[in-house]
Amino acid sequence: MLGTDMQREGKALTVALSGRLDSSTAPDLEKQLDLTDTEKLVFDLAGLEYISSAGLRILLASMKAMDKQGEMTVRHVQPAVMELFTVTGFSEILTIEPEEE
Amino acid sequence: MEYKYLRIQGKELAPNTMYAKGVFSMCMQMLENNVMEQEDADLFLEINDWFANVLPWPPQCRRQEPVVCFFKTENSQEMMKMINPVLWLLEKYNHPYYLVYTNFPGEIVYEDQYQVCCRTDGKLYIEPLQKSWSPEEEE
Repeated sequence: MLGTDMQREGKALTVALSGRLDSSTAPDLEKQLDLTDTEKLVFDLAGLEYISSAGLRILLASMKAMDKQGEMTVRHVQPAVMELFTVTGFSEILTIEPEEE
Repeated sequence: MEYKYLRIQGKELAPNTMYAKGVFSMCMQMLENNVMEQEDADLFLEINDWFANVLPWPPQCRRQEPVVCFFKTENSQEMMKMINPVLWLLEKYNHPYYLVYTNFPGEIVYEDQYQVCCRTDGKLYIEPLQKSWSPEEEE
């Protein structure tokens, strides 16, 4: 089960995800994600508990799109997801906002 | 010691080079053999597409000439970051790979900002077994 909340303000889009982003939930997210006229994309992963290769692929595909038209950041990454980012090397590929103290 | 070139390769030999297959060729073979789950295969293809857009495809490789490619270590930091998920996939499927650092890649026939492409002669040299150089065991 994946929860998605997309907030658009002008050319900025914030996508808040909660639950599990895996091969069963990723296709729906991909359908919903419209990056047209988006120059700033933020993935808020505060509620994301699990991510699989299918989710990593969506993040990578979004990053590739945003490299051409703006910027993409990821924030509020939870420890279990951060562990996967670290193991896979995605922690060095994605721009992850530092947590506020 | 600093090394100018890096190649990531497997154990399998490519028939046209008699050289260990490179990381992309290795992964493509895994896809063809249906070794990877679909979501992992899709992740690899997404990464492969990134490289296809950023890394020039040497014409010698396009023509399947007996050549092998090495990354230039000084210019390929971004490439190395993006290759890490591919190495993770290889690890996930217990597929052995080797990082070969060298200053002797061979005869360079192509070069760009990120890589060199070197000629192989397409032959496999097997030397005769050497006499053991380990200390003799005393009875």
